[in-house]
Amino acid sequence: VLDRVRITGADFIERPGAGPDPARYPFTFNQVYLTTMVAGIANRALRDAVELVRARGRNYYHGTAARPADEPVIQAAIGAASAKAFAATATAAAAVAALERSWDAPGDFPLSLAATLAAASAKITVESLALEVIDALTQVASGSTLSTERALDRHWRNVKVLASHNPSIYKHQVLGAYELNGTRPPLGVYF
Amino acid sequence: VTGSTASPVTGRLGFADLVDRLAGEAARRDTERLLFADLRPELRARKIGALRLPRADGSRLALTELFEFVADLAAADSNLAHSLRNHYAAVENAILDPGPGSARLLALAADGLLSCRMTGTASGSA
Repeated sequence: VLDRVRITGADFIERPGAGPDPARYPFTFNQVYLTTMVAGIANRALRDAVELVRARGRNYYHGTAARPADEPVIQAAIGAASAKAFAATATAAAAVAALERSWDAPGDFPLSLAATLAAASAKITVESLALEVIDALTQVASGSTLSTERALDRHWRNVKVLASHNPSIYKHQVLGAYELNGTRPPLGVYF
Repeated sequence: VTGSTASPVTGRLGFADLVDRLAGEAARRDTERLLFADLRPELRARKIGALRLPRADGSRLALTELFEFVADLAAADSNLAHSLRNHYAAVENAILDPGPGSARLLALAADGLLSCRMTGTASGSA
């Protein structure tokens, strides 16, 4: 609780996007930031999966190799997760690039619109990819998924914390309405 | 840094050690519900919130580079990265929308200050 905080006129900061005809979507940075974090978590989950498999000396008795790192199904799971983490990184980076093009041209509304559409698409895609990478981590980690000390479940929780900030199911509709009818996304927060 | 998982951008910014430390501590911070109050003085002193301000030679970190750093931070500990989100957003808005308030915020950020943002919903709505 903040109490008795002294606020003077000099403490006020202009609200972004104020006014009837904003020059840009004022909150796209925040959205791209969230998506970049989700991509970061995907890469961490991949790294944790790789380290865990490498350190493991014993395979399941019904596996086909002595070491988990030599087990084809483990190799394939890691490979698929690696491809997804790469795609998450590249997708987030594409949204960052669109945002940078908009930043470099203040007042260019079409570029800002392109940036927010890129941010929405990236949010949906990166979230989905990250959750698949985390699922792969739980497959290769098997019982260690539940280790309190490793806290691997935090990756799922942290993605959900970031992704549920503005649920994808609403973004799907907004993107679809734009594609079908040219309806622009709203100018407030979450876009 | 040998063995660092940080990107070249993070290394150039001098934050590879922080990223590696956070990565090592993240599981414990999660299970013990440890926040980042212990890190705040260091983060301020290292001016983690001033990365996008103009340097002495007038150059600036590119937006793409800031986001590479953010991805590293998030891979290390996404909660720390998230705690900086609204500060970085406020800095970007202050750069894009010049004004007395923006100038003041940028000056404070240059000194290492990290801002936060609070919003609320109207009384009666969930």
